[in-house]
Amino acid sequence: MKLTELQSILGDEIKRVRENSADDHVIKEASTVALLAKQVINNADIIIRFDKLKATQPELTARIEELI
Amino acid sequence: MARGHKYTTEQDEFIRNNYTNVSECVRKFNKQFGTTLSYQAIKTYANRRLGITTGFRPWTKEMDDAIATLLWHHPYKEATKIFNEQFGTSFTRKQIEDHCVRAGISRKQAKKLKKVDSIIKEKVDKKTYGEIRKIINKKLGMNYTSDTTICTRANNLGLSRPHRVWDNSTDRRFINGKEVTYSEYVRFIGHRWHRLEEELQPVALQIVKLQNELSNVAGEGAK
Repeated sequence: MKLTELQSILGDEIKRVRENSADDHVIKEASTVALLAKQVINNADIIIRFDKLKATQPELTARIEELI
Repeated sequence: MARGHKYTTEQDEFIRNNYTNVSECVRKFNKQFGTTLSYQAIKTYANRRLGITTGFRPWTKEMDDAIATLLWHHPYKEATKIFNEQFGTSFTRKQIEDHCVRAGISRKQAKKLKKVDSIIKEKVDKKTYGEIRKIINKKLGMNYTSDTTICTRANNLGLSRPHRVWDNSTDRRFINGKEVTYSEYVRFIGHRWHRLEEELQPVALQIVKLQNELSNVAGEGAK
């Protein structure tokens, strides 16, 4: 999944919640999406940071990969 | 009760002969005469009635100067050790501290902290804790890295800054160039998402907006 796709899903959910604020099912789904999206960006942050580290400090990352 | 004790000539003579150290003299006196006179009672009697003093003066001007100098460079524990080595005394850290308080000798750090406190008092209404910290570091050469230290000192002085209140007309907040509401801003910073990699921040902001919508719905439901 691309970041733009995640953004578009979140945009849709915001819209749905605004339009169907009385619908419990919509609210529950939106809560789940928000929770998952939180986890996705936190994981993505780690991956992006590691990729940047790989690019700038190859020796260090090689050592980290050995340890992993 | 020692009050009203009538000293005999023999007792006067005993005090005269043994009055080199008050505590020691009191101990010997009580043992010799089977009394329970207090330290203060014998000291007062010796000074006022007999007109004698022990001549025991542990703190000289030279010692005061020495301890003041030592305290500019060392904490109490080390200063006590060096001082005792220098003067052949056996003062404890507590005794040194107590004497310094009585004699008005303060550590360099204590003097600096007084200045820190005066700056805090002066600026607390006008500046944020962060700004006060920077002023203190610059003026006094301190190395405070956390605003919490300043806040704690201010609280200990009985001072507190007025809390920042969100003023909708003037106080506007932006995240990555986009204006956000108070709750969105608080959520974003609360999640530490301002520390995320830049490309992820727009997504994080959308999550915050979604969470905000959800909590608005929950709030309305509760009403």
